[in-house]
Parts: sequence; C-alpha cells; structure tokens
Amino acid sequence: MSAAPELHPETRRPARFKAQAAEALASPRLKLALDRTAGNAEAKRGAAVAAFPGFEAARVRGAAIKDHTLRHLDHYLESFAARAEALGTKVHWARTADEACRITVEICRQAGARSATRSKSMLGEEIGLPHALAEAGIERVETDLAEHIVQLAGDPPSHIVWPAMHIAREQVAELFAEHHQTPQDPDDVPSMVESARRVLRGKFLGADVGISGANFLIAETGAVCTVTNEGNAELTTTPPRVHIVTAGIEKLVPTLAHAMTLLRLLARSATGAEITQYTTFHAGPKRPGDLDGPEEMHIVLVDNGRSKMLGEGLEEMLRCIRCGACMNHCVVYRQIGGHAYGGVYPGPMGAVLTPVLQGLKESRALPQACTLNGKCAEVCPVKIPLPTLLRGWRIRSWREGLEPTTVRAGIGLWAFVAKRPRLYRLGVKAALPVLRIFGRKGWIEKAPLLGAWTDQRDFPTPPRGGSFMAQYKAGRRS
Amino acid sequence: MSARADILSAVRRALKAPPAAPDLIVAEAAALLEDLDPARPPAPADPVEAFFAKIDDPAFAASIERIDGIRALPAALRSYMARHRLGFRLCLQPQEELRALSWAGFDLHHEAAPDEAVALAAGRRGISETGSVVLESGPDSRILNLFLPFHLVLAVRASTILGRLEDHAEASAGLPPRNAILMTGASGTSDIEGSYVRGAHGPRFLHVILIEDRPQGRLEEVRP
Repeated sequence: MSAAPELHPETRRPARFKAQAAEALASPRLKLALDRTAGNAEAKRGAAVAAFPGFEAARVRGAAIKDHTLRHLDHYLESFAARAEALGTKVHWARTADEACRITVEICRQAGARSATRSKSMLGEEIGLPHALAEAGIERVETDLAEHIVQLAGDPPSHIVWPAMHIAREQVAELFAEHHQTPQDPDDVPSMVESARRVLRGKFLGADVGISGANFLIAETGAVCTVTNEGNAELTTTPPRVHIVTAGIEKLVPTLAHAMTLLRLLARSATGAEITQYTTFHAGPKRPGDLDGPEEMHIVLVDNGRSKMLGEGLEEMLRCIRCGACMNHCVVYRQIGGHAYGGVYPGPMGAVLTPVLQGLKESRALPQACTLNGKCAEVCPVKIPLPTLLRGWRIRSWREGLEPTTVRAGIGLWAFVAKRPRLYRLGVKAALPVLRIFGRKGWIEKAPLLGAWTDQRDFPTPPRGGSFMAQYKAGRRS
Repeated sequence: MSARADILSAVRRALKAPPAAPDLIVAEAAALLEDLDPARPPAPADPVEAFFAKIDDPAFAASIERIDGIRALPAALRSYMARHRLGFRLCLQPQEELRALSWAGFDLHHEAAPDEAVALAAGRRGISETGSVVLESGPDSRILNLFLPFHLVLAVRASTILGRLEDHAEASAGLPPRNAILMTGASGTSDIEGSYVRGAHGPRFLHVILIEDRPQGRLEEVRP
C-alpha cells in the first residue's frame, strides 16, 4: 500500500475522515497500541459486569435517572444554580463554546493568573479551552498523566478516558526525556510515571487557577462530582486560589443517592473497577476555618448545542456519562483510533455528537463509518440507542442532499435493480462466476470495482453452487 | 437576554411539555430510588467484615489491619513506619481524636510537604460495597495532607462502616462539607499502554487501620 499523506494534527477534520482513516490504517504501531489499551479495557469491563448480576437492572435505572433529569432539566438547572450560589460558588452560563471560553479566560484574568492546572475534561476540549488559554497567554498544565503526554506531543486526545491511547511507551520515553530533561527507560513504565509525578508536583503547587470538568452536578446540594484514579483532580482544585469548573448542562442528577447508580455504571464500563479511586464532591470555596481549598469557586454551565439536542430527537444522547465503552467495543474505532474521526469525541458517541457540534455537512462521513453491528448499544451503561441515532444522521444527510452525486447515483442504481427481483438475480448470476476468477484460496485480494473494499481487507470468494437464492431453491427441492 | 435566561428558555422550548410542579418532580425522583436492590450489589451480612475482606483482597490497591481501640493507633503506626523504613516523622491530620493520643517517639507536624513520606488521617466513615473511606475537609482536615504523602494511613472506626453507596448518601444528608472524598485504594494510572502503575499523583501506598469500637465486637473477642 502506498504511504498515506502526512496530516498535521491541526488539519484533522471530520470532513477528511477518509484520508485520516487511511493514514491511521497505514500506521505501523497504532493498531497494536489500540488493541493493548482498548482490548484490556474490554476484558476488564467484561469481568466487572460478570461480577455484578445487577448490572442490567442498574443500566435501566441509570437511563431512567438521566431521562428524568433531562425531562425536568430547567427545574434541575435552577435548583443546582441556587444551591451552588448558596455555597458561595459563582455560577456562569454559556450559550456557546466561545462564550464559555471567554468567561473562563476572564475569570483567569481577574485572578491575575499566569498558569492554570487542568484536570482532564472532555468538555474543555469541546469548547476549545486549551487554545483559548494559549491565546490569552496563560500557561496550561495538563495534570492527568495521559493529557500530560498528549500535551507534550502536541496532539489532541484520541480517547475520552485514555487520551494517549495512540502513543506507545517508547514515544512517551522520548517525550519525557526531552521535556522532563531526565533519561527515561521505555521498558520501565513505573519510573516514567514517577518522572511525571515529580515534574507535575511543582506545577500543582504553583498554579494560580485550577480548572476541572464535572462528572456529575448534584442539584440537591450544588456540589460538583469529579472522578479520577490518579488524584490529580484534588491536586488541581485544592492549592490554587481559584477553582473553575466547566460542565455541560446535561451533567445534572437530582441527588447524591441518584449519582451512586451512575457511579457504579461509570467505573465498571470505563475501567472495570467498582468505583474510581477518588470520587470527590466539591461544594463551594474554602469556608471559614478550613485549612485549605480555593478562595473562589466558579462553575461555567455550558449549553453548546445541548438544548437543541433535547428538542431534536437526540435527547437520549444526553444520557451519556462519557465512559468510553462504546469506542472500546467498536470494530471501526479499534482499527483507526480516535484521531481519524477528526472531532473532539471519537467512536460511536463521537459520531453522534460531532454533527451537532460541527454540523452535518462537515461530519457526514462519521455516521457512515459504522457497521451497525450494535455492539456499542449493547455495552452502553445508559442504554443509548447509538446505531439508531447514527442511522438518523444518515437519513438526515440523505434528505438534506449532503451525499455526493456518485453516492446518490450508486444507491439509485442499486435501488432500481433491487426492486426488480428478476433483474437482480440475473445480475448476481452474471457477476458470481466473474468474481470467482479473482479468488485465491477463498479470498479475493483485488478485483475491478472492488478497490474500496480490497484496499484494506480481502473479499470472500463467492462459494460454488450459485447465489443464496439458487442454493435455497436447490435445498428446498432436495 | 442573559445567557442564563436564554439557556433556560431554550431548554423549556425543547422540552415542549409545560413545567411540572416541583412536588411531582420530587416524587418522581424519589420513585427512582425505590426498590433499588436488583440494581445494586447485595447488602453485606456484616458490613465491617465485608469492608475488611474487600480491602484485604490482594487485587485491592491498599492494605488493612485491625486494632482494638483507638489508643492502639500510635503503636500500629510505629510498626507500619518501621516496617516500611519511613523513620518516625509523621504528618498528623490535626483532628482532635488523633491529637489526643500519645505520640511519644514521633516527630509530628500537621502540614504535608510536597515530598511527605507518611501521613495519618481519620476517615469519617467506611463503605463496604467498594472498600471506600470517606474523608471530609474542615477546620481540622487539610485536603492536601491526603494527596501529597507517599504513604497514607487512614483510621476508620468499625462503628462507622456502612454497607452500600446509598447508605453513605443517606448518612451525609444536610449541608455537604466543602470537599467529601470517597477514597478507594491508592492512586493509580493505566495511561501508558494500559499497564497499571500505583502512585500517579496521590499516595502510592494506602493503609487502612480499622478501629474496633463496637461494644459487642469487643465482647465477642474476649469471650472464650
């Protein structure tokens, strides 16, 4: 296969999906890295689900909790905001990504911040916060180990739970050797983790502002829940004078007790654990007498297309708790990784969300990059019907005339033949012997008109005995 | 219009149905917590035993021991610190119940350094379902003391061990502390090729000391 074109990270776009997928498939190490991490996650999730007989009932309950909250989202937003303000948190509202960035940067400016530590938040990526902080001249320190690695590499995250899934340990060793300025041994992962611990420790304690996302917003108390396994969220939110939370409006849950069902689902679906190591509820700034904690706490509640999703048949997608199980189990993601999708969110959930965030015209290739095998919906902890939603985008893309003329003509021709059984059978009868000419040991490596298929994988040689219909008829007669 | 008003009205437009009465919403939310047992792990017969067994499991990223009463805590710390060759400089969370103990032979301080070796804190309660220790911020609890040390030792009273996550939610009703942390094992990461490494940013070692403070528990132990 010819070398794929080199694509700079910043030129990656949903519209260039095909070229990006080709690049990913040509990468010699990517598939290995994906299988190691996603394969591991898949196995651990499987074991965790097998050990929890209530998992299916919890999924039903989890979906119902999210649906209930979304059905009364205005009520819960207002009560959350009132509670949070009563705790001394300043609540900000942002209609768009730009507005959310402007608000966040302004809080940083007000605080006179030169550096900000960040605890991994996909919403922050969605609104383009890394870029906005850089433009404002504020040093951004990513503290999640994987985010630290992708920051050093100058890459965007390629997975919502393991952002550095695409980076092999040898590359991590090179990056750390250069940026930590100490020698690194790629076969000694614990020492590399130790190196990051040492370098980031100073950054945690010296930051002016700490920025986190939220896994859940508790309407009853006004508290913000973050979950991590590393402990970087608490080290991000405790020492600086100001803590800023950026959160999507769909993160609400009624009470702490409701959050528990979702926490059970989240950890098992993401890493196979029963709960994350650090499940922390942040309720306002430092109180009188408190020995540490931020003097100011701000929450930026971000809409950015979510209210539109609620009214346009995508409300089920707002259940998403960002566990990453759909991508770990996706046959497409497992081949191409996250960057090929060209958006912030990859995999099945990303293929549903990216058209909302970047428009269907830009991202129509993503809902098409799906085999509809249903695996994502089968593992989704909150029962999001991902294939149905993806099919919805396909239908809309067709109706809005976004499919290219060649696709429309091809499908038109196929429909014409498929609706005429005699013609269809005649065509199949004529094509089968021709296809068999190209078969070697049961597989076709190359054949005219089959390039789009055979470039990446072989096509099975049609068996002897004719088409399915021919064999079916023969079987019935015998 | 303000962003707040815009977002709320966009949400209301999207929801189509007229807003429900708050009482109805509360009732509907409460119904979602009823009959929860099929959707969660079974209640433990004995939460304290289950909590101990959970953390004692080799797959769990922490160790656990039991002591008979809080007065035995300094001796347990001494033996832990000797076992791990940590010296006897101890960062003690300035909680009254810990300060009241006799710490002769220890070099105590109350604010963890960035390279702190070992700290001791008392947990508010334990949860046997997950092996979590609940820690809260406050005038006697520095959050950084729980994250900077290399070794973190948590003391938990047996009488505070609850069964499941919802029991903790119920027990913590009312004004929440600024920070409430459910800490479950030592810090860890699997960010480099999925291989699990302990001590990413928080403590590399977590040791739980379960203090037997239930009268019937003690009685059982002294019975022949």
